[in-house]
Amino acid sequence: MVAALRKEEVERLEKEGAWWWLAEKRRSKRLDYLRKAVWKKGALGGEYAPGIKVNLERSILFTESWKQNEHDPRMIRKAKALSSVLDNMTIFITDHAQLVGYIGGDAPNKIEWYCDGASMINEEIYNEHGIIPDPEEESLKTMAEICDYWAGRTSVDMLARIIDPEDAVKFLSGAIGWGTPTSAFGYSGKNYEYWLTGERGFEDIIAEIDRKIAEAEEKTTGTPGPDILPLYDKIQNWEAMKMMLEAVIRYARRYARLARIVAENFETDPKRREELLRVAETCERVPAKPQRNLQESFQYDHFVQVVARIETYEGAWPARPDYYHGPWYDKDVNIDKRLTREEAMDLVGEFLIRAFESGGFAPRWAREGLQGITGTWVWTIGGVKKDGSDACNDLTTALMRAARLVRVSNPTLSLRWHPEVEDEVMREAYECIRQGLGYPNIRHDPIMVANTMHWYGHPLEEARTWVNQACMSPCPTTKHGVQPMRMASATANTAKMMEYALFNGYDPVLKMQMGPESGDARNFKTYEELYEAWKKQMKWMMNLLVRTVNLGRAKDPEFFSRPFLSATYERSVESGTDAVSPEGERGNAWVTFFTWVENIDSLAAVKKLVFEEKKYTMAQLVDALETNWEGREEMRLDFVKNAPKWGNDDDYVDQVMVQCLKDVAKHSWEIKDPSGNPWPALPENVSGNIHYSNMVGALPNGRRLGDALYDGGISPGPGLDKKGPTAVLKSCSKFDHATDGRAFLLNQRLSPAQLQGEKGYELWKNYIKTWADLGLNHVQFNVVDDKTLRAAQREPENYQELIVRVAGYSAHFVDISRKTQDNIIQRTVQGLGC
Amino acid sequence: MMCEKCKWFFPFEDDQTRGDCVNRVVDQRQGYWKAKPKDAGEDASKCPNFQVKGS
Repeated sequence: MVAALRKEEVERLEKEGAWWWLAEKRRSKRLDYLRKAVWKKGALGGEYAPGIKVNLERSILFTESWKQNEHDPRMIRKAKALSSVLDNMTIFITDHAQLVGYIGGDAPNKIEWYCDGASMINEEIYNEHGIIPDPEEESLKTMAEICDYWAGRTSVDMLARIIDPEDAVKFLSGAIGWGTPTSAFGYSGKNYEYWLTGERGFEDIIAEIDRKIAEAEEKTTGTPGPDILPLYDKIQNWEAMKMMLEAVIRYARRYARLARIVAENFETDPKRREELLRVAETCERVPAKPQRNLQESFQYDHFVQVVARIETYEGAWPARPDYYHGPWYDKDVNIDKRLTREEAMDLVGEFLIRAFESGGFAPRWAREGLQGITGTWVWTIGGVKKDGSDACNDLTTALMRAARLVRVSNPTLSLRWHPEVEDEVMREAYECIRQGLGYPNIRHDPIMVANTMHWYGHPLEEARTWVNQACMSPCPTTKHGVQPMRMASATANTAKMMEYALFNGYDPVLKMQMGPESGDARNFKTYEELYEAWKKQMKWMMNLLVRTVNLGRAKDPEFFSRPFLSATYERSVESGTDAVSPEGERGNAWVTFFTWVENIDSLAAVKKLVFEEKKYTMAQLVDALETNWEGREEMRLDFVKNAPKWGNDDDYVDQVMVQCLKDVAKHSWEIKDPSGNPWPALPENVSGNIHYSNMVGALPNGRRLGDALYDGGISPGPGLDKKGPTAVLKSCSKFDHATDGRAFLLNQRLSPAQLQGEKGYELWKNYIKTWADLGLNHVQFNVVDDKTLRAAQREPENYQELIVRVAGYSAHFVDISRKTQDNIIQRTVQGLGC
Repeated sequence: MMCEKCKWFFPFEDDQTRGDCVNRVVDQRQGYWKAKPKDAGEDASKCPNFQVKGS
């Protein structure tokens, strides 16, 4: 039982906005223990925290098996290697835990290493200070042997041998995009409709596979002909999938065994002994058989997530926990009453913590772009069922209450808003936002459903199952709708489009020709000439990144393969194909557009100050940019202050945004993924605005090389939106959020002082109504004052659970770099009701 | 000194030649029980956790 808090103490903490101290006092002893037990795996401003070590076990066991089975087809070889890992790796159960399964090895301070993904990342791990496990010398020797073996053999190595060399150099420059074009470092959607609905456990899938193999073998031992030839490979794939499912059942039962051993031999507390025996019963049951209660449902889901992340690095965590686990919550709490709400809250809170604690080694560029976290775990709640009725349930609200208690920066929640969402759900969302979690973000469900149908032709019922694939992009969880592979390399540093348009394709920071020649901007006589140059660079950049990703995707079954993921994909089990094959997929590709609004503000500034007012010539402007505005501060400030800026309901600049998005959308339909589907753009940022700040030079919006870029998506530049929150919304409403791109991120910062009491709720609710009526697809909020943020900078030890919304994710404020912290402090605080 | 003689070794029910080596760890943040499969006949003479069964 949580000790009753004195009313005065609660009021004081609420008044001070010290939500993290209040959470600590309100959560149960179990949740408090488990929350504090976590070793944070997100890098602090790009560096791993002291004590974090890399796990060697997976790489040792995987490599050993891989060497022994060199003549096996890839899927089988992979399945054998992963089975060896699952059978022989160290497992552990944390005190007070009711859910088990860990990504990262033999101790809770370890992060995972995926040696088969990319040699350049293997080299980086080997040379990274502070994370080599003790004894260091011995570990380095082992790592060197593993790195040497995999040199030339990893997925990226193989891709590098066939990719166009010019594409490779420009991609690897790091200037125009980031990521690795392989599912070794991407993220996969989960086909929850196949295995998490309570109808199917792994034994059922094994039975389906056995039937498939039997049918195929009847044909392969029958009348010869071309139609039976594909079956030979399919049989191998099915065998690999079955091997994985059996291995995961064994893995789960290893936990059951450990829980029983501890309960029967070591645990002296009768209550904990009972809990351990329940853990054992749970792990005996799932994932072999379908779940029967909330603990089994969470555990089943978590085992799949863990093993998918032992198979490969997953940089996101698409999930819809209230939709799939809600019926079990209802059964346990409301119908059978086998759990009190407090007991259920312990499970819900722990489910969040288990996701929070997971992480793999990320290369430096990813750590700098995703400061404080190991990936964007955005869990989708709310929305509608397949028939269009409201999908919110008791677990929807329980998740939000649990989030306020455990205050993890990952997972965050994303609420699918629709007109029938009940007030109770909106109030919980408001409380989360008001208490400074930075989530849930709010998504406009009807628009996102329409968007999903528009770009890929997903049928309405399937579109309604959508979850956030990573930060923002909607993806169904169905047989043909689910996306197995989303490689981050279709991520563009779009501010470079503007830069290259101004410098004839030349990169003034890298000092090399990157884009195509689009004309000497000094000689441009009209805005239209500049805009045509910009369009040329835009198309070139999208083309190069998409070519890279398409190739990686097409070759992934050959160069990487995913037998476990395949075993959980209905279309893979049905067809005998690797899940990462594009076959049978309806498509969900998109190009993330970092640093987008810089293009808009820059184009508008040149249009106004050069071509309309003729205050400067293009030559003067390009000269100024080339020298980083040196000696031209007055001119620079002119471009900052006297050129129109996005986010002020000013048609002059807003129509530039509209035109740019229309032209991007047009090109999106011209470029195709391996299944023939389009590649729409998705403006958003993570912390790419900081990561790229030293790679993007001076621009006509007034920025200098080294200045933080804007915080992303369609958010106005910090401090540049001067007409209030409604003006921002109106700017954002001038294009179509269903058809002009994939999704559009909007950060807004609100004042804690305004969000007090019933009046605060009404103000926020009215804001959401305006947002919805104007047809925007997304909005997310930071609610924290400057005083608190500055105090956290001075005394981080007192603000460990203070969370901020960075961009497409949240992070603990103390885990992000000073530059990123300052950038968040600079964001305009909107006054609601103004 | 072999693993099967250790108090922390728990043989598998269906294969007595293998078993779990179970250990208790308490680090700066949490206590946990861990298990790793071992061969019963593995040499435990250098294992810092070895304790004779029944001791």
